[in-house]
Amino acid sequence: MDGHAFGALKERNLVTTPGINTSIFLEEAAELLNELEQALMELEGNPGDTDLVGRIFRAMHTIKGSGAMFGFDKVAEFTHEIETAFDLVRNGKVSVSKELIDITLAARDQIRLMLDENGSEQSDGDNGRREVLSSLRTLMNSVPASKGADAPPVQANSEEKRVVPELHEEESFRIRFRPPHDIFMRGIDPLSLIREVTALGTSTVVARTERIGWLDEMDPEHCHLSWDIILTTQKGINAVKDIFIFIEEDSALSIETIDPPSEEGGFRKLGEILIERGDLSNEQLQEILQSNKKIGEKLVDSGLVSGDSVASALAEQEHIRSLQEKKSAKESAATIRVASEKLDLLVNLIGELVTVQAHLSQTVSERHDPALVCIAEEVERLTAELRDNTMNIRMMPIGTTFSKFKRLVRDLSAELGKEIDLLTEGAETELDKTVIEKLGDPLVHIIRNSIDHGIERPDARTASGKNRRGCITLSAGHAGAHVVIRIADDGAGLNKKAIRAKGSERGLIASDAELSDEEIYALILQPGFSTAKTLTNISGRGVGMDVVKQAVDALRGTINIASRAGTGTVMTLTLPLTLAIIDGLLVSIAGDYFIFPLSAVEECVELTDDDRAESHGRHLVNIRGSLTPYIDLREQFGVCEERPPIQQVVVSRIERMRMGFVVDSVIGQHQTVIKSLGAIHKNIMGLSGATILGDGTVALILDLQRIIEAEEASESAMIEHRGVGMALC
Amino acid sequence: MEGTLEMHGETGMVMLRGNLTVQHAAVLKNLLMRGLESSSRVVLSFEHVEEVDLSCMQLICAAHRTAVRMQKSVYLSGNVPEIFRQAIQDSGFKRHVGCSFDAGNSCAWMGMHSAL
Repeated sequence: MDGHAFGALKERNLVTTPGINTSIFLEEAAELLNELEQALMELEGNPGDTDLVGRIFRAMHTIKGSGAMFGFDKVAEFTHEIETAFDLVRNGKVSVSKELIDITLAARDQIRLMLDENGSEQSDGDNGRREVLSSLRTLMNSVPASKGADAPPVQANSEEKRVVPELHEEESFRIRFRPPHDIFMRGIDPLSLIREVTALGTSTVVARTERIGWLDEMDPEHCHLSWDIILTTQKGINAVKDIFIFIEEDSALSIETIDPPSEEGGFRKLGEILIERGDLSNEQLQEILQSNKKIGEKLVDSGLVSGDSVASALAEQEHIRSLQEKKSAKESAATIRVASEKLDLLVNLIGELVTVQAHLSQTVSERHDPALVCIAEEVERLTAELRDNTMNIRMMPIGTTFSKFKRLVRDLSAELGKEIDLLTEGAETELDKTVIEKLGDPLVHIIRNSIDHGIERPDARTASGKNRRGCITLSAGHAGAHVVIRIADDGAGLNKKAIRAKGSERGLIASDAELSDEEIYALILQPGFSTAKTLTNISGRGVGMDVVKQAVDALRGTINIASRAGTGTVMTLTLPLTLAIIDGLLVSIAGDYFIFPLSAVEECVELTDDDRAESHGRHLVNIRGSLTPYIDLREQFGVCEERPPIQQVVVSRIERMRMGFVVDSVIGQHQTVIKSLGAIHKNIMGLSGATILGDGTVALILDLQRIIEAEEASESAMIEHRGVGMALC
Repeated sequence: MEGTLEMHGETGMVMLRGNLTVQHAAVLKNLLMRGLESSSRVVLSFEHVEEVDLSCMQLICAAHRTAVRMQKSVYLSGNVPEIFRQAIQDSGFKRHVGCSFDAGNSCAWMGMHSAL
């Protein structure tokens, strides 16, 4: 298809109006651009990987073709230019270089920009696109052609020639090609023709050697070879014929369509293929079938068919069989695309259902009707299954987030003159899509910090006996109801002294405070905290890590920092699998209901007046000989009513610390549909949300981390106050 | 192309360098014939080959079947450069069974199969 292809498509009404199809195209293009970016990053590490080049080419090809069909002409035109360059790479005419990868990544960003503009004809990005194309042309014209082939320059005038793929139904062709015997002397390499054919689709190539004679009798400059090629393609028969157009007259060339296997699933047998090819007659086949040997052997033994013909027919049989199997596998693994808003709505409805089901169970338990109890239990079971299945649909592999960090590491390390590899582990770990969406920014901040402050420059690394290439490892894995994400770098580690000094200078800690390493490192999570002496455009303003903490807190997660000078830093984020429905522990305090996230709860123990007396007013409880501190939630929430004689301590683990929380009574496990608090209540300390109980009562979800922090702050203030009081005395 | 034939007992080592293209096909043919005439076992070394076309492939085929007829053998040595492997794969020489001239599964392309 030539430069008029776009117009032709429009005339044939193949270009759809903006609407649902456009949004599908935009979604698919976004996925293809991610695929393109990922493949480019991988290609940089493996420049000889032809599969990767194929992936890149296909991604661009699809964006270009679909873009033209959906009226994104600018996208199609621009992508065509880049695709042309990669076609040269694919055909071995241009080699992969860092410059090519850089330019193609920049081109990918320009395509993204154009798609974000929704294909509008605005010219905001025109300069950027011109720059990319100019760099590409310069590169293509300067790159020496690989041996034996000339690299034609990318066309300077994009209007000169434009190829838009004309896609047909997928067909399989049997191509039998015997080139003229003097093809070598004409300066044509048959291999390049074969490679052009195979580039059209999936192929099986069999070289036929039966015309090669004895060495002493052979004219070495003549071609004695012929080929059988089985090609499955969507490009149509004309695309195949075009390849042979210059030598068709002097060659023996036949291109036949192979009928697809029948619906009953039967593949053509070897004899049938040979008859169809004209290598064997039906009579000869019937005669040979009388004996007991394998048909291939019998045919070769009888001299009716050459070994090459049998091998070629078997290759065809295998090609079609494997293609059919792949197709069946693809069909059976079919997926449907659903808008995420619909999933969110479904999850909300499940939340409502869980609440109603709790109400039903409670009402039924008060009626003492065995038949109703039976039904309620069945509804409860089905609701739980429905909840789990729905939550599973929203689960996405975290690898979708990981892949974009490769680009980040590559670009930033190049900008800073550092050499850094990003390793990822556990990309298949799944967590809720909402969590994944909110996780991107915190991870970007942490990785930027690692690149800017953590990993040293190559010369400094070499001087300290390290590999000149730094490494950041991003790993994810499940731990109970949580996902643990670990970001480890092998850089210089955190400067404990500098952090402590800065913390003291800013009044965050007393200058003589005894702090564990963990507590010192946690200072970097404070707002505006930075020990960097200079600001870079990457980090150093101290706005990053507190943003990380806020984001992780909003996800109900925790951050732990470990570091060793000269060895590196490890940041561990522990996040809940989902933000929609959690298992909670329902408790009551003075007639009000509260929820503990069950994943944080370790055990519950009784607390009596005698226990309180034993601890002499200190908030400590003796659990199996070990003293555990506790926070009295009545005190925290300012409840003045008289406490019951026996209370419960809910012992929880928050960031490696065991802490008890005193409540009046523990009611039991509760499926908690998380409802966010309204604007007025959302800043109340110690509460992270609410849920509705079966009888319609509201229970508040406790934010244990915040309660501990508030308690610590209040104790520090009290100690300070006492200190001032003593000094005055 | 540069080619030498070195004799190691009954084995003739054909060492090839540079471009194995149709321009040098006649030289390669002569080298292979000399190898087959002077030894019972010819080993072809492509380690330092930089470019290859199909004229070379068909010569290896011819040398192999001629060797079988002479009750001799032709082998490719282990270190085959990537460009050669790719050419074998793309041109459809790679195969599981030898041609009708093959004896004792000595086909050079079958040997390449596991390496490809």
